[in-house]
Formats: sequence, structure tokens, C-alpha cells
Amino acid sequence: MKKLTYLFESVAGLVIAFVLWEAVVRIFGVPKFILPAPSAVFAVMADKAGLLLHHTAVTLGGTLASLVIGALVGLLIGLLIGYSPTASRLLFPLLGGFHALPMSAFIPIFTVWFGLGAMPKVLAGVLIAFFPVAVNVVTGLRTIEPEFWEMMRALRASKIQVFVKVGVPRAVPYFFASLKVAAAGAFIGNVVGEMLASGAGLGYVLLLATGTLEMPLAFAALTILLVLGIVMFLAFDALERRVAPWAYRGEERTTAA
Amino acid sequence: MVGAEDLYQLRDVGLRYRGADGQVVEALRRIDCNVRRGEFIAFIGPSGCGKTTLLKLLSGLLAPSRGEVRFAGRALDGPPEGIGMAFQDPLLLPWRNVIDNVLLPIEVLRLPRSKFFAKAHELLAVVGLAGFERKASWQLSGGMRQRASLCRALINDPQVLLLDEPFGALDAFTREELWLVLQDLHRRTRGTMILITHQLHEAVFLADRVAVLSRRPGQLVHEVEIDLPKPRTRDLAYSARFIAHVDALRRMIDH
Repeated sequence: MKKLTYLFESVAGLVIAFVLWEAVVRIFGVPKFILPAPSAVFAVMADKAGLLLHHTAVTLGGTLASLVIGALVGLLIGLLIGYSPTASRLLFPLLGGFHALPMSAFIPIFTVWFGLGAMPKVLAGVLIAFFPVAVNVVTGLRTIEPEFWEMMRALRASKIQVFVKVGVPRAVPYFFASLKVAAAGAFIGNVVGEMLASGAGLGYVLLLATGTLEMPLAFAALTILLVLGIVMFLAFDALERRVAPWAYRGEERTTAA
Repeated sequence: MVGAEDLYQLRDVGLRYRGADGQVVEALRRIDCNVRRGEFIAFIGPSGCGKTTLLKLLSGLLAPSRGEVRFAGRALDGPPEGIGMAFQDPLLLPWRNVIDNVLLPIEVLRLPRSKFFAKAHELLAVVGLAGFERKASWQLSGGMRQRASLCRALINDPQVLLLDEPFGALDAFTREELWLVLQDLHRRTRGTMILITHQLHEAVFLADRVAVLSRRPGQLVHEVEIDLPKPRTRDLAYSARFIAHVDALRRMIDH
């Protein structure tokens, strides 16, 4: 029941945004080639459903590939940095500096290396996606309560045992929380990559449509991107609660009271 | 207890350390004390007297800066085999259910879990947690978590159970219930138990012997044998003899 209400409210937010958008366009008589009304956007969606579906699948596939690879790379780096102080000193500042670079700057380089197509955009997505995962996993591992350390030491646990039995399970909700952020990053990398160096995907559609001033089509692509973003966010949020309910125990208690 | 062997021997034990502000703190001074096998001894004292520090020395988590702590005939260097510990916070791992928390020491020791299932169930039944084995530990009340924590400390049949104010965060009713649980566990296991507490009633109710620590630097100033018959009941806690013991201890701490 609570879940249904949440879903309903999410959809309601989207509907309200569309209604306001439609009203603004109609009241101010905004021309179609500047900002098309949602009604015009939906008309294009219905008209070019096959084309949009194909490019949506391309974007979604690339995003998932970036997310899976990025999450695995981020997890490995996070575990390494969280376990070894030496690795932390070597890698952590480098990682922070690296993250401050605009990842789209790498896309031309990837294109030189791998040519046009899926590779540059998927790699760009990986570069953005792995960082929040690594940082979150490190946080989960580094914030083990000193009392747990003491309890484990009194049991004669080794450092690796504390890491495996306390650190890693404790980092699980941090890992899943970071997937929401990483998914958005993978998405951005793919769409930008499609605009710069690919012949397919919603980013490519967006670029072509604006090039020929087909604004309803451009906004159709944007709208699909928005909906995909919302769906991914909700999906990972739900996954997070399912995987580590203990991390949300406070929340549950306050809603029950 | 005549002829009973000593499990712990503390000779001239002192601990000084440099605090966060750079000042040298003397936490404990010249502690000479033996703990007999099978006895229940309580250490009491005002807050900040080094009680918890003393327990960390007994567990091997801390090394004394002076003197020697011998456990089962050997000088300690690090936590030895054969100790179980329970803390004020039950410190259950929230992602594990009750029985998996109780079996944690078995995993750390790389022993086969299957061999200890029966023992875990038995312990949980003794402390009143039968049927809660598969409950998520974060769904338990504070008192139930502390019961589970006692089972975890005892799963490996330790020679001694070290208790660091284990009931300090519980309400009065739950605390008294757990006194009875702990007394029952002591009677069944016949192990040694060492309790750190600032609760005079708790010390008198549970212990065969109470040792009184002074304000910092903590020194042993008194030792009192509690000659009340065991098992002790709640009614006994309101008897004149019981209250006389509590009163005497209070005077020793105030002195």
C-alpha cells in the first residue's frame, strides 16, 4: 500500500510538470520551434515510436553496460582503498583529481582509440559511474565503529576477518546507495557520448533533431531520458531498501509510530 | 573455594598513558589481585576510576605499563584464548540474525558452525530467547540484545566471562531480570565471571567477592566477600543483610 502511494506520487509529480508545461506554452503562445507543448511531443512519440524505441534501447543498453562495469571497478577500488592505508594514500588523491576532470573531454580520445560507436560512450559512462561507488564503499569501510573493532579483537579476529565480517557487510548499503548516483553518471556519459561520437542512441536523436530544428522530436528524446532517469532512480532506491533493511531501521520505526 | 587455583594473577599492575591533550594520565596504580577459578568477582568504583581500563587489561586488549597480568599461568600479550566479553552496548552485527550473531566467535575461530548449533540453541533457551533465533538482531529490544550478546560471549565455553557494565543502559526491571539470567548462567557454566559496574546493588546481588577501586588513579582499596546464600532471589535484594552490604560499599567509595 505504501509502495503504491509512493509510485502514484512519483507519477503525479510528472503529470503536474507536463500540465504546467502545456499551460505555459498555450498561454504565452510559444512557437513550436522554440518550445513545443507536451501534446506535440507526445504526438511525435506516437508517430515515431519505432525509431525512438530503437534508440532508447541503444541508450539503455549502453548505460547498463557502463553501470555494471563502473560499479565493479568502483567496488574493487573502494575495497582496496578501504582495506589498505598504503593504497589509500597512493590512490585516493589521484582519484579525487581525476574525478574533477570533465569526462566528456575523454570522448574524442576514446574515439581516436576505438573509433565511432558504442565503445567511447560506454567508457565515458564507466569513468563517471565508478567514482561515487568507490568513494561510498571507502566510507562504509572506514567508519567501522571502534567498539566493533574491540569486540572483534577480543575474539582474536585478524584484520582480514574484521574486514570480511564487519567492514564488507557494513559497506553494502553504502554500495547500493551509490548505485543511484552511478546510474545517473553512466546515463550522462552515454548520452553525451552519443552526441559526440556515435550514430545511434537518444543523444544522437537529440543532436540530429536540433540540427534540423525538429524541436518536438528533440523534446521527445529528452522526455524519454527523463522518464528513464526516474525509473532507474526508483528501481535502485527500492533495491537498496531490500538488500539492507537493517540500515533503514530508524526510518521504519518513525513511520510506524 | 579452599585450594581453588587462581585464573588471574595481577602483580603491581599500573597503567599510564598520554592523553589526547599530551598530558600523562595515570589510570591505574599498584593493582595486586588474584581471581579464583569459578568465582564471580565484581569491581566497583566511581566513574572515571579506571574500571573499564582494568577490564581491557584483563582481556589483553591493553598492555599494562607496569607490572604483569597473568592469565591461566601465562603473562598476557594480546587477547588470549578462553575469554568471552560482553560490553555495555550489545554490539550485535545488525545485518546478522540472532543465531548468526551468537555463532560469530565460532566463525572467527574457523570452527565448524554445525557443531555449535545445538549449543547456541541451548544458550538462547537459557537466556529466554528460544524462538528468536532467526529474528533480525535490530528488531530486538535492548534487553533481548544483551541476552544474545551474553550467548555470543559464552558460545565458545570461555574460562572467564568479562562483563563491562553490560546492564548499564537498561531499565531497572530489565536489569534485575538479567541479574537472574546471569546468575543462572554462572551456576550452569561454573566458569569465572568478572563484572565491572558502578551499580552497588548489582555487584552485591551477583558477586561472591566485591573489589572497590578508588578515584583516579584507580587503586584497590577494599575487598569484601559477599556471604549471602546462592542462588539469590529478588526478595533477598530487599533484606537487611543485603542492604547492609550495599551500605558498607557505599561508605567505602565515599570514604
